Amino acid sequence: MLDVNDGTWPPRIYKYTPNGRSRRLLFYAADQGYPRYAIFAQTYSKPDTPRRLVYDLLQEAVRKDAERLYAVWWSRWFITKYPARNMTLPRLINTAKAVAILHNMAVEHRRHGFIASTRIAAAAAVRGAGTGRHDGDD
Amino acid sequence: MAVVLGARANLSTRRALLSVCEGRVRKRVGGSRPGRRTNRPRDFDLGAHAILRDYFGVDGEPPVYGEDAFEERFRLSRPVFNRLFRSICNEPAWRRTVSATGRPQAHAIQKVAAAVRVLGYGEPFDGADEYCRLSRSTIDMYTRLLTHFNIDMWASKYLRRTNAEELEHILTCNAARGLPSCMGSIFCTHWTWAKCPKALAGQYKDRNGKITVVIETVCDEDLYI
Repeated sequence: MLDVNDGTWPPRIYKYTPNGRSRRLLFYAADQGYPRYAIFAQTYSKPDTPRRLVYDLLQEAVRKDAERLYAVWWSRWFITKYPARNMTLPRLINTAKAVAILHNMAVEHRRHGFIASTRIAAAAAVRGAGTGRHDGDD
Repeated sequence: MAVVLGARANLSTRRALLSVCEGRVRKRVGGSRPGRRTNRPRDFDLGAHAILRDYFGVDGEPPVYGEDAFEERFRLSRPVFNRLFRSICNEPAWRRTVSATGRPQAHAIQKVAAAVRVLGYGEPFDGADEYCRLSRSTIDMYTRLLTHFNIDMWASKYLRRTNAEELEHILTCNAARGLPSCMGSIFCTHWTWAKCPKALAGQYKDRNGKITVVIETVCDEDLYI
């Protein structure tokens, strides 16, 4: 989340107007476990108006994606389901990253590559720069 | 006695600290030494032949198992696995080599299959010994090499921020679902750490007292991380 702190992510080019106020900060749907930052959109814990109730329903529907992700991830890569047997933390992080990469490759193939061509073109440009093993976060 | 115990505790602490600093415990791997057991005659060809026969077909015959079984066993569909294998099979660590005694070593397909199986099934390293004909230390090494290879090769492609076009797509999707300008959902889970060093155990307790590491992920509607 370092680049969020720096202000380089998310891009501020999208402008939208919720409730008559114009904003530029895009947000993630998050649950109550996260701090109350502007980048995390959380549900109202006690929705007392129909507007808030509807918002909660929609937000939970979007949030369900990430929860579903873990279900898929666990059932596809059992190594993340069982207690980790790695001795050191970097090795554990590497395992998780590698599994995430394989998962993404599988997802990309299953979707028959929506905007895959642009993804590949962008990756070719990025690969020229090349990144190390320990940088780049989710 | 107390002195001995103290020295031992010191050693383990130091080793744990060392592992944190360096990222790994240095340990001599492999090599034949006088007085140690000789290598088992594992017959690497047998393992490679079994894998090829079962999943890829040998001598013009169709493979024993079909596409469903392939995806079940390797956790990747055939095109994805082929892509992984093709990019990995000519790496110096993965291609077939000849040992110092002139004996040919294991095939790349065995190493990839064993490593993917460890990731996919979460099985111990000697789980695939009987099928892939590789020792557990070899499978351990190649699992680690596979993770390193994946990260070096594809982290820039598959583990990065969404680019503008993808973000556009995600925003359109989420607007259709009723939450405009939502970039996706974020969620975290706890992964139990069985072999946590004692020195670090206090740092990684979850609320139930188990030792866990938090994995945090952002994904979109298609479960793309």
